Amino acid sequence: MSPKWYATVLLFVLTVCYALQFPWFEAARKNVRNVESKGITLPPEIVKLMSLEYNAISADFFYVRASQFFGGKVLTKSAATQDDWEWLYRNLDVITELDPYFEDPYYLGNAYLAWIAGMPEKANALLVKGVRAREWDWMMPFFVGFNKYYFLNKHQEGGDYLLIASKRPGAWKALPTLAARLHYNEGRTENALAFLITFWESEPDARIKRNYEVRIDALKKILSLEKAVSRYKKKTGRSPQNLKVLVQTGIIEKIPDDPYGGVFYVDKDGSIKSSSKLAFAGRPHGKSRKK
Amino acid sequence: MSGIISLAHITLKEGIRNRALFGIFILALLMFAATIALVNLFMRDIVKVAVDLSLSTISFAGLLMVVFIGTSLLAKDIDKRTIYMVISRPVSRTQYVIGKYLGLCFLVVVAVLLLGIVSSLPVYISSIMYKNPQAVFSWKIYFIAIVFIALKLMLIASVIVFFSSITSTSFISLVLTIAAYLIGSTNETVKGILDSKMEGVEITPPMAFIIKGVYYVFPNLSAFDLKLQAAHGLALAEGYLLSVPLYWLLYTGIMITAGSLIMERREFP
Repeated sequence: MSPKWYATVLLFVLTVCYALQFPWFEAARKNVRNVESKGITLPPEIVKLMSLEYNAISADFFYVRASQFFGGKVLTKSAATQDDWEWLYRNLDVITELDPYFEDPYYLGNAYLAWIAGMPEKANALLVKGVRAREWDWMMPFFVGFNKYYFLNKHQEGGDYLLIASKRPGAWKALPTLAARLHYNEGRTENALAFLITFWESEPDARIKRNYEVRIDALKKILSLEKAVSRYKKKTGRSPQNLKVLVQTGIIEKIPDDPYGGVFYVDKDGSIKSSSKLAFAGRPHGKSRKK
Repeated sequence: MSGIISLAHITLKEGIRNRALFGIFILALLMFAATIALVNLFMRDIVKVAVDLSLSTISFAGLLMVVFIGTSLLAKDIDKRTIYMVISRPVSRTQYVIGKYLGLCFLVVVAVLLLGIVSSLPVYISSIMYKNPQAVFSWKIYFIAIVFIALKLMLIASVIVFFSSITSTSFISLVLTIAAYLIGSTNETVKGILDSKMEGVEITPPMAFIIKGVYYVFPNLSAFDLKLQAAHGLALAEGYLLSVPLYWLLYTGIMITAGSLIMERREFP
């Protein structure tokens, strides 16, 4: 047999072996990738040096990495750990150092850290950089103000940030009024709803939009229950012991379902709360929230 | 003068004929096409991302072109001994250096012009894909950024001319140019760390002296990087459009003059 024939046979054998080993190879890679998980974060100064003149592209790359990782978590409904959230914060911190004018990391940080992770302070630490750099953008101080008011119960400071926002071009017309109401601590649930509807309208990402929809739905139900409670108070002169009383007296037809899967109840101070604490089971909820 | 022009013309022709140029251009075109797909991974600031990718592609493709084609055009003349053909003619060595440099500059201008026009397409497409009310973008700053990329590449070309005059092989001048590029892109940041006295970073006086020396000797390429300004439509500081070109003019002037001085004294084997 000619050497050419041997070479052809060898090529065939090698090709078949190459195809056969692939599942094994991929399994090995998969394990390694699991160990690597989301990748490390380096201090911004080091990243700046290493990325030469490509700072902006590095920021884009880190952003995609973070958004894919957490997008995957949300899609598969697997719970992110506290470590994951800390990693997200560090990552977004580096991104906003590389390019402080980049809008998306602020949105992502606000949506995930303030709303899902229960870390509104960290979300605000990022957003404050955006308030400084993006001096034309009213949404940045608006988000900070909302987080201070809604999650951290700092009404005065929240109102101050809303005033900053109201002075920037294109700002939402009702902001000065809302800021004043925050300073006087009126109509908490209505204020929150007004905020949320603005968030919902300006949000292009369908996943985050859906998050807001659930929250808006829950707050609308809470608002209707609050109104029912005050009608009950007017009628009887005292607070209801529980929500069933409202149905029995015919003020409402039935107790609405909490979209987060919990049960609404009247708290000792007379406010409406839910056993879900307005978070899906398995996810950490806002610890400092009072609603 | 006519000697310089004809040398520049030959250099430009030689550069365009280089096969590497096609490879670099295909890479750039693929990147521009990919930009339109990549911006979909972002939420709101997609014009910014498109500008980042487009300008970085121009800068990177231009860098590859200048470094690889530039070193081969200049140092190979000496490496392959084709320089004898030129210096035996009534052309002084200074004219030879200036002619070669101008030819390289023409090549940069043609390439950046072409890439600049093509790159504005993905930026334009992404600007109509999603109208972000919070984004500020101006075409004026975008094109200024492209002009600054061309200036930066011409400055690197002058560094190549200088290194080619002192080395005898194109590989060494390639390595030296890449080193100069890496230092030039980072020296401002390193000096910034030195000036801001970062916590936990100990810098000894001799080290500080070296850092300052490197900062003044090597070109500050960060000054020509306006990607961030272009992406967010940030206004440039007053006088920026005058002081940076002046810096450029003086630096390239020094490189070319020093290069031709060395060339005049050089003995060819």
